[in-house]
Amino acid sequence: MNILSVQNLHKSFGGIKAVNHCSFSVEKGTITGLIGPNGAGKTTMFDLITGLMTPDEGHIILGDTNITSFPAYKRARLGMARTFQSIRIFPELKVIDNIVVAMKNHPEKMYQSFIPLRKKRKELKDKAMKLLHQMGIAGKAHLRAGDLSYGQQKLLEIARAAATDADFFLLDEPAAGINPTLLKEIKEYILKLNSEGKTFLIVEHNMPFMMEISQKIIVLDYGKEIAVGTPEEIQNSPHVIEAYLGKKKE
Amino acid sequence: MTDVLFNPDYLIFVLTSATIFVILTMALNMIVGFIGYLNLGHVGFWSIGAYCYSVLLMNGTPFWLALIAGGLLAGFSGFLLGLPTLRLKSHYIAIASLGFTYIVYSLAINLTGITRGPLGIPGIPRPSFWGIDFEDKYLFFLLCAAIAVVSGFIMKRVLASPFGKILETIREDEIASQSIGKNTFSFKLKAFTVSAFFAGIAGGLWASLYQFISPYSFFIPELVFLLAALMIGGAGSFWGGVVGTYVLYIIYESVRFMPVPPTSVGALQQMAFALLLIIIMIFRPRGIMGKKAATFHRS
Repeated sequence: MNILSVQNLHKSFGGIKAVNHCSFSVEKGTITGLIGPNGAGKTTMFDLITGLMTPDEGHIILGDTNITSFPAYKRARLGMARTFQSIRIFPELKVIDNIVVAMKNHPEKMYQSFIPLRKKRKELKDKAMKLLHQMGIAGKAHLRAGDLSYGQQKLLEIARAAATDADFFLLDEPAAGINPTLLKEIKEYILKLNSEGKTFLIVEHNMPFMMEISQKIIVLDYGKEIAVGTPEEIQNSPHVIEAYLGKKKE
Repeated sequence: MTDVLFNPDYLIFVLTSATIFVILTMALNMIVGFIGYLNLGHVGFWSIGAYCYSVLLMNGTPFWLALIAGGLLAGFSGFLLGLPTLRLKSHYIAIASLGFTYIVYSLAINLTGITRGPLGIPGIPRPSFWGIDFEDKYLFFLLCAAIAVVSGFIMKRVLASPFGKILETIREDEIASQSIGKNTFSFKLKAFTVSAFFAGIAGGLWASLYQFISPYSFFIPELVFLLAALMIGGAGSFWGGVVGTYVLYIIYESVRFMPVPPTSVGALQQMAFALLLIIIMIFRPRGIMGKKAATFHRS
Protein backbone atom coordinates (compact mmCIF):
# COMPACT_ATOMS: atom_id res chain seq x y z
CA MET A 1 0.00 0.00 0.00
CA ASN A 2 1.26 3.47 -0.80
CA ILE A 3 1.52 6.01 1.97
CA LEU A 4 2.42 8.77 -0.45
CA SER A 5 1.90 9.14 -4.10
CA VAL A 6 3.00 12.07 -6.16
CA GLN A 7 1.16 12.37 -9.43
CA ASN A 8 2.38 14.43 -12.34
CA LEU A 9 3.70 17.11 -9.98
CA HIS A 10 5.01 20.27 -11.57
CA LYS A 11 6.60 23.42 -10.20
CA SER A 12 8.52 26.03 -12.10
CA PHE A 13 10.25 29.21 -11.00
CA GLY A 14 10.16 31.50 -13.99
CA GLY A 15 11.69 29.45 -16.76
CA ILE A 16 13.27 26.86 -14.50
CA LYS A 17 11.30 23.69 -14.08
CA ALA A 18 12.39 22.68 -10.60
CA VAL A 19 9.99 19.75 -10.56
CA ASN A 20 8.93 18.65 -13.99
CA HIS A 21 5.79 16.50 -14.21
CA CYS A 22 7.19 14.06 -11.73
CA SER A 23 5.38 10.98 -10.42
CA PHE A 24 6.42 8.39 -7.89
CA SER A 25 5.08 6.64 -4.86
CA VAL A 26 6.35 5.57 -1.46
CA GLU A 27 5.19 2.30 0.03
CA LYS A 28 4.07 2.12 3.62
CA GLY A 29 6.68 0.81 6.03
CA THR A 30 9.64 1.24 3.71
CA ILE A 31 12.71 3.41 3.65
CA THR A 32 12.87 5.12 0.31
CA GLY A 33 15.77 7.20 -0.86
CA LEU A 34 15.45 10.23 -3.09
CA ILE A 35 18.73 11.06 -4.77
CA GLY A 36 19.90 13.17 -7.64
CA PRO A 37 22.61 15.65 -8.57
CA ASN A 38 22.60 19.12 -7.04
CA GLY A 39 19.69 21.17 -8.33
CA ALA A 40 17.70 18.11 -9.32
CA GLY A 41 14.68 19.39 -7.39
CA LYS A 42 14.84 17.19 -4.31
CA THR A 43 14.32 19.90 -1.73
CA THR A 44 11.65 21.55 -3.87
CA MET A 45 9.94 18.18 -3.97
CA PHE A 46 10.05 18.03 -0.17
CA ASP A 47 8.67 21.55 0.09
CA LEU A 48 5.84 20.62 -2.24
CA ILE A 49 5.02 17.45 -0.37
CA THR A 50 5.05 19.13 3.04
CA GLY A 51 3.12 22.16 1.87
CA LEU A 52 5.69 24.93 2.10
CA MET A 53 5.16 25.51 -1.63
CA THR A 54 2.13 24.96 -3.79
CA PRO A 55 2.58 23.03 -7.01
CA ASP A 56 1.61 24.48 -10.40
CA GLU A 57 0.13 21.15 -11.47
CA GLY A 58 -0.36 17.65 -10.20
CA HIS A 59 -1.58 15.94 -7.08
CA ILE A 60 -0.13 14.73 -3.82
CA ILE A 61 -1.97 11.88 -2.13
CA LEU A 62 -1.20 10.94 1.45
CA GLY A 63 -2.78 7.63 2.42
CA ASP A 64 -6.08 8.12 0.67
CA THR A 65 -6.40 11.86 1.15
CA ASN A 66 -5.63 14.31 -1.59
CA ILE A 67 -3.59 16.88 0.31
CA THR A 68 -2.55 19.05 -2.63
CA SER A 69 -4.40 22.11 -1.33
CA PHE A 70 -3.76 21.55 2.39
CA PRO A 71 -1.63 24.04 4.32
CA ALA A 72 1.59 22.76 5.88
CA TYR A 73 0.26 22.41 9.42
CA LYS A 74 -2.71 20.30 8.31
CA ARG A 75 -0.45 17.94 6.43
CA ALA A 76 1.73 17.60 9.49
CA ARG A 77 -1.33 16.73 11.54
CA LEU A 78 -2.13 13.94 9.11
CA GLY A 79 1.03 12.23 10.27
CA MET A 80 3.81 13.71 8.20
CA ALA A 81 6.97 15.08 9.81
CA ARG A 82 10.07 16.47 8.23
CA THR A 83 13.54 17.73 8.93
CA PHE A 84 15.26 20.46 6.97
CA GLN A 85 18.43 20.67 4.97
CA SER A 86 19.46 23.77 6.93
CA ILE A 87 18.54 22.94 10.52
CA ARG A 88 15.37 24.54 11.81
CA ILE A 89 15.12 24.05 15.54
CA PHE A 90 13.87 26.61 18.07
CA PRO A 91 17.26 27.89 19.29
CA GLU A 92 16.06 30.05 22.20
CA LEU A 93 13.92 27.30 23.70
CA LYS A 94 15.34 24.61 25.92
CA VAL A 95 16.21 21.33 24.24
CA ILE A 96 13.42 19.56 26.05
CA ASP A 97 10.87 22.22 25.13
CA ASN A 98 11.80 21.75 21.49
CA ILE A 99 10.47 18.22 21.86
CA VAL A 100 7.51 18.95 24.14
CA VAL A 101 5.95 21.54 21.81
CA ALA A 102 5.94 19.02 18.99
CA MET A 103 3.94 16.40 20.85
CA LYS A 104 0.53 15.51 19.62
CA ASN A 105 -1.51 16.05 22.79
CA HIS A 106 0.35 19.19 23.85
CA PRO A 107 -2.23 21.26 25.81
CA GLU A 108 -1.75 24.37 23.73
CA LYS A 109 -5.26 25.84 23.67
CA MET A 110 -5.41 29.27 25.23
CA TYR A 111 -8.07 28.37 27.81
CA GLN A 112 -5.80 25.56 28.97
CA SER A 113 -3.48 28.23 30.37
CA PHE A 114 -5.98 28.66 33.19
CA ILE A 115 -6.56 25.10 34.23
CA PRO A 116 -4.03 23.11 36.23
CA LEU A 117 -2.13 20.76 33.96
CA ARG A 118 0.82 19.89 36.10
CA LYS A 119 0.30 16.15 35.71
CA LYS A 120 -0.17 16.29 31.97
CA ARG A 121 2.84 18.54 31.47
CA LYS A 122 4.95 16.23 33.62
CA GLU A 123 3.81 13.30 31.51
CA LEU A 124 4.84 15.06 28.31
CA LYS A 125 8.17 16.02 29.84
CA ASP A 126 8.88 12.42 30.82
CA LYS A 127 7.99 11.26 27.34
CA ALA A 128 10.28 13.91 25.87
CA MET A 129 13.10 12.87 28.19
CA LYS A 130 12.71 9.30 27.03
CA LEU A 131 13.04 10.41 23.45
CA LEU A 132 16.13 12.46 24.27
CA HIS A 133 17.62 9.43 26.00
CA GLN A 134 17.16 7.40 22.85
CA MET A 135 18.95 10.09 20.89
CA GLY A 136 21.70 10.30 23.48
CA ILE A 137 21.24 13.99 24.24
CA ALA A 138 19.29 13.67 27.50
CA GLY A 139 22.19 15.27 29.37
CA LYS A 140 21.61 18.48 27.47
CA ALA A 141 17.86 18.61 28.01
CA HIS A 142 17.94 21.91 29.88
CA LEU A 143 20.36 23.78 27.68
CA ARG A 144 19.33 26.31 25.06
CA ALA A 145 18.84 24.31 21.89
CA GLY A 146 20.97 26.84 20.02
CA ASP A 147 23.93 25.94 22.21
CA LEU A 148 24.05 22.36 20.98
CA SER A 149 26.65 21.33 18.45
CA TYR A 150 25.64 21.00 14.82
CA GLY A 151 25.36 17.23 15.02
CA GLN A 152 23.30 17.33 18.18
CA GLN A 153 20.97 19.91 16.65
CA LYS A 154 20.49 17.52 13.80
CA LEU A 155 19.61 14.74 16.24
CA LEU A 156 17.25 17.10 18.04
CA GLU A 157 15.48 17.91 14.81
CA ILE A 158 14.95 14.22 14.10
CA ALA A 159 13.76 13.68 17.67
CA ARG A 160 11.31 16.55 17.26
CA ALA A 161 9.94 14.98 14.11
CA ALA A 162 9.57 11.69 15.96
CA ALA A 163 7.79 13.46 18.84
CA THR A 164 4.93 14.44 16.55
CA ASP A 165 4.02 10.76 16.40
CA ALA A 166 4.07 10.85 12.63
CA ASP A 167 3.89 7.72 10.49
CA PHE A 168 5.74 9.23 7.62
CA PHE A 169 9.08 11.00 7.89
CA LEU A 170 10.76 13.12 5.29
CA LEU A 171 14.42 13.67 6.15
CA ASP A 172 16.33 16.23 4.14
CA GLU A 173 20.03 15.34 4.24
CA PRO A 174 20.18 13.77 7.70
CA ALA A 175 23.81 12.77 7.17
CA ALA A 176 25.24 16.07 5.95
CA GLY A 177 28.02 17.36 8.19
CA ILE A 178 27.70 14.48 10.63
CA ASN A 179 30.64 12.45 11.89
CA PRO A 180 30.63 8.66 11.29
CA THR A 181 29.79 7.75 14.90
CA LEU A 182 26.82 10.06 15.01
CA LEU A 183 25.78 8.92 11.59
CA LYS A 184 25.68 5.36 12.85
CA GLU A 185 23.39 6.47 15.67
CA ILE A 186 21.09 8.24 13.26
CA LYS A 187 21.02 5.19 11.05
CA GLU A 188 20.16 2.90 13.94
CA TYR A 189 17.42 5.25 15.05
CA ILE A 190 15.92 5.33 11.59
CA LEU A 191 16.02 1.54 11.38
CA LYS A 192 14.43 1.26 14.80
CA LEU A 193 11.53 3.54 13.87
CA ASN A 194 11.24 1.69 10.59
CA SER A 195 10.94 -1.61 12.42
CA GLU A 196 8.04 -0.05 14.34
CA GLY A 197 6.27 0.46 11.03
CA LYS A 198 7.24 4.05 10.22
CA THR A 199 7.87 5.08 6.64
CA PHE A 200 10.82 7.18 5.54
CA LEU A 201 11.60 9.25 2.51
CA ILE A 202 15.20 10.43 2.69
CA VAL A 203 17.14 12.89 0.57
CA GLU A 204 20.87 12.39 0.94
CA HIS A 205 24.13 12.75 -0.96
CA ASN A 206 26.03 10.22 1.11
CA MET A 207 25.75 7.24 -1.23
CA PRO A 208 27.13 4.46 0.99
CA PHE A 209 24.60 5.54 3.65
CA MET A 210 21.77 5.59 1.14
CA MET A 211 22.65 2.26 -0.44
CA GLU A 212 22.77 0.64 2.96
CA ILE A 213 19.61 2.02 4.43
CA SER A 214 17.18 2.29 1.53
CA GLN A 215 14.96 -0.46 0.26
CA LYS A 216 14.03 1.53 -2.79
CA ILE A 217 15.70 4.50 -4.44
CA ILE A 218 14.18 7.14 -6.66
CA VAL A 219 16.54 9.18 -8.79
CA LEU A 220 15.58 12.71 -9.80
CA ASP A 221 17.27 14.71 -12.50
CA TYR A 222 16.08 18.05 -13.83
CA GLY A 223 12.94 17.65 -11.75
CA LYS A 224 11.96 14.35 -13.29
CA GLU A 225 12.21 10.82 -11.96
CA ILE A 226 14.71 9.03 -14.19
CA ALA A 227 15.03 5.74 -12.38
CA VAL A 228 13.32 3.80 -9.61
CA GLY A 229 14.59 0.56 -8.13
CA THR A 230 16.55 -1.27 -5.48
CA PRO A 231 19.98 0.11 -4.59
CA GLU A 232 21.67 -2.51 -6.81
CA GLU A 233 19.53 -1.67 -9.79
CA ILE A 234 20.20 2.01 -9.33
CA GLN A 235 23.95 1.52 -9.07
CA ASN A 236 23.95 -0.26 -12.39
CA SER A 237 21.45 1.94 -14.20
CA PRO A 238 23.03 3.68 -17.19
CA HIS A 239 20.59 6.59 -16.81
CA VAL A 240 21.78 7.28 -13.31
CA ILE A 241 25.43 7.06 -14.17
CA GLU A 242 24.78 9.44 -17.01
CA ALA A 243 22.99 11.93 -14.76
CA TYR A 244 25.79 11.96 -12.23
CA LEU A 245 28.86 11.56 -14.41
CA GLY A 246 27.78 12.56 -17.90
CA LYS A 247 27.66 10.51 -21.06
CA LYS A 248 30.60 8.46 -22.31
CA LYS A 249 32.04 9.70 -25.56
CA GLU A 250 31.44 7.18 -28.31
CA MET B 1 13.60 71.50 44.77
CA THR B 2 13.21 68.86 47.45
CA ASP B 3 9.68 69.93 48.18
CA VAL B 4 8.86 69.14 44.56
CA LEU B 5 10.56 65.81 44.82
CA PHE B 6 8.60 64.85 47.89
CA ASN B 7 5.38 66.30 46.63
CA PRO B 8 3.01 63.34 46.99
CA ASP B 9 0.61 64.64 44.36
CA TYR B 10 3.31 64.60 41.76
CA LEU B 11 4.84 61.29 42.79
CA ILE B 12 1.59 59.41 42.94
CA PHE B 13 0.52 60.81 39.58
CA VAL B 14 3.73 59.64 37.90
CA LEU B 15 3.53 56.29 39.63
CA THR B 16 -0.06 55.77 38.50
CA SER B 17 0.82 56.78 34.97
CA ALA B 18 3.74 54.34 34.91
CA THR B 19 1.61 51.56 36.34
CA ILE B 20 -1.01 51.96 33.63
CA PHE B 21 1.76 52.09 31.06
CA VAL B 22 3.04 48.77 32.36
CA ILE B 23 -0.20 47.10 31.21
CA LEU B 24 0.49 48.49 27.78
CA THR B 25 4.09 47.26 27.59
CA MET B 26 3.17 43.83 28.95
CA ALA B 27 0.55 43.50 26.24
CA LEU B 28 2.93 44.66 23.52
CA ASN B 29 5.53 42.21 24.78
CA MET B 30 3.19 39.36 23.86
CA ILE B 31 3.54 40.34 20.22
CA VAL B 32 7.01 41.87 19.96
CA GLY B 33 8.75 39.66 22.49
CA PHE B 34 7.00 36.33 22.11
CA ILE B 35 5.78 36.16 18.51
CA GLY B 36 8.62 38.38 17.36
CA TYR B 37 6.51 40.67 15.22
CA LEU B 38 7.11 44.40 15.32
CA ASN B 39 3.61 45.64 16.01
CA LEU B 40 3.39 49.39 15.48
CA GLY B 41 -0.38 49.43 15.83
CA HIS B 42 -0.40 49.13 19.59
CA VAL B 43 -1.08 52.81 20.24
CA GLY B 44 -4.09 52.44 17.95
CA PHE B 45 -5.60 49.80 20.26
CA TRP B 46 -4.77 52.00 23.23
CA SER B 47 -6.52 54.93 21.60
CA ILE B 48 -9.61 52.90 20.71
CA GLY B 49 -9.86 51.67 24.29
CA ALA B 50 -9.49 55.18 25.68
CA TYR B 51 -12.09 56.73 23.37
CA CYS B 52 -14.60 53.94 23.84
CA TYR B 53 -14.22 54.14 27.62
CA SER B 54 -14.48 57.92 27.75
CA VAL B 55 -17.52 58.17 25.53
CA LEU B 56 -19.34 55.42 27.39
CA LEU B 57 -18.38 56.66 30.85
CA MET B 58 -19.46 60.22 30.10
CA ASN B 59 -22.79 58.96 28.88
CA GLY B 60 -23.51 57.28 32.16
CA THR B 61 -22.19 53.75 31.66
CA PRO B 62 -20.83 52.21 34.87
CA PHE B 63 -17.03 52.15 35.16
CA TRP B 64 -16.43 48.42 34.85
CA LEU B 65 -18.74 48.10 31.88
CA ALA B 66 -17.07 51.02 30.09
CA LEU B 67 -13.59 49.69 30.85
CA ILE B 68 -14.36 46.18 29.63
CA ALA B 69 -16.18 47.55 26.58
CA GLY B 70 -13.09 49.62 25.73
CA GLY B 71 -10.97 46.49 26.04
CA LEU B 72 -13.35 44.41 23.95
CA LEU B 73 -13.59 47.00 21.19
CA ALA B 74 -9.80 47.27 21.12
CA GLY B 75 -9.52 43.48 21.12
CA PHE B 76 -11.98 43.26 18.27
CA SER B 77 -10.03 45.84 16.29
CA GLY B 78 -6.91 43.76 16.96
CA PHE B 79 -8.70 40.74 15.57
CA LEU B 80 -9.76 42.70 12.48
CA LEU B 81 -6.25 44.05 11.95
CA GLY B 82 -4.79 40.60 12.44
CA LEU B 83 -7.02 38.85 9.92
CA PRO B 84 -5.38 40.30 6.82
CA THR B 85 -1.98 41.32 8.19
CA LEU B 86 -0.89 38.26 10.17
CA ARG B 87 -0.46 36.33 6.94
CA LEU B 88 2.33 38.75 6.05
CA LYS B 89 5.97 38.31 6.92
CA SER B 90 7.25 40.22 9.92
CA HIS B 91 8.54 43.48 8.40
CA TYR B 92 5.42 43.89 6.32
CA ILE B 93 3.41 43.58 9.51
CA ALA B 94 5.34 46.53 10.93
CA ILE B 95 4.28 48.69 7.98
CA ALA B 96 0.69 47.45 7.95
CA SER B 97 0.27 47.99 11.68
CA LEU B 98 1.79 51.47 11.43
CA GLY B 99 -0.90 52.14 8.85
CA PHE B 100 -3.44 51.08 11.46
CA THR B 101 -2.06 53.64 13.92
CA TYR B 102 -2.53 56.34 11.28
CA ILE B 103 -6.05 55.16 10.51
CA VAL B 104 -7.07 55.33 14.16
CA TYR B 105 -5.41 58.73 14.44
CA SER B 106 -7.31 60.18 11.50
CA LEU B 107 -10.56 58.61 12.66
CA ALA B 108 -10.06 60.26 16.05
CA ILE B 109 -9.52 63.60 14.32
CA ASN B 110 -12.34 63.31 11.82
CA LEU B 111 -15.14 61.50 13.64
CA THR B 112 -15.95 64.76 15.36
CA GLY B 113 -19.42 63.57 16.35
CA ILE B 114 -17.97 61.02 18.72
CA THR B 115 -14.43 62.14 19.48
CA ARG B 116 -14.77 65.94 19.23
CA GLY B 117 -11.88 65.75 16.78
CA PRO B 118 -8.70 67.70 17.54
CA LEU B 119 -10.37 69.38 20.52
CA GLY B 120 -10.20 66.14 22.43
CA ILE B 121 -12.46 65.02 25.25
CA PRO B 122 -11.92 66.98 28.47
CA GLY B 123 -13.31 66.33 31.90
CA ILE B 124 -13.26 62.55 31.89
CA PRO B 125 -14.17 61.64 35.46
CA ARG B 126 -12.36 59.28 37.77
CA PRO B 127 -14.55 56.28 38.48
CA SER B 128 -16.71 55.83 41.51
CA PHE B 129 -18.35 52.56 42.47
CA TRP B 130 -19.26 50.39 45.45
CA GLY B 131 -19.54 53.58 47.42
CA ILE B 132 -15.85 54.35 46.88
CA ASP B 133 -14.92 57.56 45.14
CA PHE B 134 -11.71 57.05 43.18
CA GLU B 135 -11.33 60.79 42.80
CA ASP B 136 -8.83 60.27 45.62
CA LYS B 137 -5.43 59.88 43.98
CA TYR B 138 -4.23 57.14 46.31
CA LEU B 139 -7.34 55.06 45.84
CA PHE B 140 -7.17 55.55 42.10
CA PHE B 141 -3.55 54.43 42.15
CA LEU B 142 -4.54 51.32 44.08
CA LEU B 143 -7.30 50.60 41.59
CA CYS B 144 -4.89 50.92 38.65
CA ALA B 145 -2.28 48.83 40.42
CA ALA B 146 -4.85 46.11 41.14
CA ILE B 147 -5.96 46.04 37.50
CA ALA B 148 -2.34 45.99 36.36
CA VAL B 149 -1.57 43.07 38.67
CA VAL B 150 -4.59 41.09 37.49
CA SER B 151 -3.78 41.83 33.84
CA GLY B 152 -0.16 40.91 34.41
CA PHE B 153 -1.16 37.69 36.13
CA ILE B 154 -3.39 36.68 33.22
CA MET B 155 -0.76 37.51 30.62
CA LYS B 156 2.01 35.76 32.54
CA ARG B 157 -0.15 32.70 32.92
CA VAL B 158 -0.87 32.64 29.18
CA LEU B 159 2.74 33.23 28.18
CA ALA B 160 4.12 30.61 30.55
CA SER B 161 1.62 28.02 29.35
CA PRO B 162 2.05 25.64 26.43
CA PHE B 163 0.13 28.21 24.39
CA GLY B 164 2.88 30.73 25.12
CA LYS B 165 5.53 28.19 24.16
CA ILE B 166 3.93 27.86 20.74
CA LEU B 167 4.04 31.65 20.38
CA GLU B 168 7.78 31.41 21.03
CA THR B 169 8.22 28.73 18.39
CA ILE B 170 6.70 31.19 15.93
CA ARG B 171 9.33 33.75 16.89
CA GLU B 172 12.09 31.17 16.63
CA ASP B 173 11.08 29.59 13.35
CA GLU B 174 7.59 29.85 11.97
CA ILE B 175 8.13 27.31 9.19
CA ALA B 176 9.40 24.73 11.65
CA SER B 177 6.40 25.45 13.84
CA GLN B 178 4.05 24.74 10.93
CA SER B 179 5.99 21.63 10.06
CA ILE B 180 5.15 20.17 13.47
CA GLY B 181 1.46 20.79 12.88
CA LYS B 182 0.84 24.17 14.49
CA ASN B 183 -1.68 26.47 12.88
CA THR B 184 0.52 29.47 13.48
CA PHE B 185 -1.94 31.95 12.00
CA SER B 186 -4.58 31.05 14.54
CA PHE B 187 -2.10 31.35 17.42
CA LYS B 188 -0.96 34.75 16.22
CA LEU B 189 -4.52 35.97 15.81
CA LYS B 190 -5.49 34.92 19.33
CA ALA B 191 -2.41 36.56 20.83
CA PHE B 192 -3.05 39.72 18.82
CA THR B 193 -6.61 39.93 20.09
CA VAL B 194 -5.61 39.42 23.73
CA SER B 195 -2.80 41.94 23.44
CA ALA B 196 -5.14 44.53 21.91
CA PHE B 197 -7.70 43.86 24.65
CA PHE B 198 -5.24 44.76 27.39
CA ALA B 199 -4.06 47.82 25.45
CA GLY B 200 -7.69 48.92 25.42
CA ILE B 201 -7.98 48.42 29.19
CA ALA B 202 -4.86 50.55 29.65
CA GLY B 203 -6.49 53.17 27.42
CA GLY B 204 -9.52 53.43 29.69
CA LEU B 205 -7.46 53.88 32.85
CA TRP B 206 -5.20 56.36 31.08
CA ALA B 207 -8.20 58.49 30.10
CA SER B 208 -9.42 58.57 33.69
CA LEU B 209 -5.98 59.46 35.03
CA TYR B 210 -5.29 62.35 32.67
CA GLN B 211 -8.98 63.27 32.49
CA PHE B 212 -8.37 64.46 28.96
CA ILE B 213 -7.68 62.64 25.71
CA SER B 214 -7.15 63.88 22.18
CA PRO B 215 -5.94 62.26 18.97
CA TYR B 216 -2.45 63.52 19.86
CA SER B 217 -2.40 61.55 23.12
CA PHE B 218 -1.88 58.30 21.25
CA PHE B 219 0.48 58.76 18.39
CA ILE B 220 4.04 58.28 17.19
CA PRO B 221 5.90 59.82 20.19
CA GLU B 222 3.93 57.55 22.54
CA LEU B 223 4.61 54.60 20.24
CA VAL B 224 8.34 55.31 20.35
CA PHE B 225 8.23 55.61 24.13
CA LEU B 226 6.37 52.32 24.33
CA LEU B 227 8.81 50.46 22.10
CA ALA B 228 11.77 52.00 23.91
CA ALA B 229 10.42 50.86 27.28
CA LEU B 230 10.13 47.34 25.95
CA MET B 231 13.58 47.34 24.36
CA ILE B 232 15.19 48.73 27.52
CA GLY B 233 13.47 46.19 29.71
CA GLY B 234 13.99 43.30 27.36
CA ALA B 235 11.41 42.03 24.89
CA GLY B 236 10.68 38.35 25.25
CA SER B 237 11.12 38.29 29.01
CA PHE B 238 7.87 38.78 30.88
CA TRP B 239 9.34 41.20 33.42
CA GLY B 240 11.12 43.10 30.67
CA GLY B 241 8.15 45.30 29.90
CA VAL B 242 7.55 46.04 33.57
CA VAL B 243 11.14 46.91 34.45
CA GLY B 244 11.68 48.86 31.24
CA THR B 245 8.65 51.04 31.82
CA TYR B 246 9.61 52.02 35.36
CA VAL B 247 13.26 52.62 34.42
CA LEU B 248 12.27 54.83 31.52
CA TYR B 249 9.78 56.77 33.65
CA ILE B 250 12.38 57.34 36.35
CA ILE B 251 14.95 58.62 33.84
CA TYR B 252 12.34 60.72 32.11
CA GLU B 253 11.01 62.33 35.26
CA SER B 254 14.35 62.80 36.98
CA VAL B 255 15.43 65.17 34.21
CA ARG B 256 12.94 67.65 35.66
CA PHE B 257 15.11 68.02 38.74
CA MET B 258 18.26 68.93 36.88
CA PRO B 259 19.38 72.53 37.29
CA VAL B 260 18.22 73.64 33.85
CA PRO B 261 15.71 76.22 32.72
CA PRO B 262 12.20 74.79 32.50
CA THR B 263 12.08 75.45 28.77
CA SER B 264 14.82 72.94 28.04
CA VAL B 265 13.38 70.13 30.14
CA GLY B 266 11.45 68.66 27.22
CA ALA B 267 14.50 68.55 24.98
CA LEU B 268 16.65 67.10 27.74
CA GLN B 269 14.08 64.39 28.40
CA GLN B 270 14.28 63.36 24.77
CA MET B 271 18.05 63.33 24.95
CA ALA B 272 18.20 61.34 28.18
CA PHE B 273 15.83 58.84 26.71
CA ALA B 274 17.86 58.45 23.51
CA LEU B 275 21.07 58.17 25.50
CA LEU B 276 19.62 55.46 27.71
CA LEU B 277 18.47 53.54 24.67
CA ILE B 278 21.93 53.72 23.10
CA ILE B 279 23.66 52.62 26.31
CA ILE B 280 21.30 49.68 26.69
CA MET B 281 21.72 48.64 23.09
CA ILE B 282 25.50 48.64 23.48
CA PHE B 283 25.83 46.91 26.83
CA ARG B 284 22.72 44.79 27.06
CA PRO B 285 21.32 44.45 23.57
CA ARG B 286 18.57 42.17 24.80
CA GLY B 287 17.45 44.62 27.45
CA ILE B 288 17.85 44.69 31.22
CA MET B 289 15.81 41.54 31.83
CA GLY B 290 16.64 39.91 28.51
CA LYS B 291 18.35 36.58 28.49
CA LYS B 292 22.06 37.12 28.29
CA ALA B 293 23.43 35.91 25.01
CA ALA B 294 25.30 32.68 25.50
CA THR B 295 29.00 33.31 25.44
CA PHE B 296 30.30 29.83 26.15
CA HIS B 297 29.17 26.26 25.77
CA ARG B 298 28.47 24.19 28.80
CA SER B 299 28.87 20.48 28.36
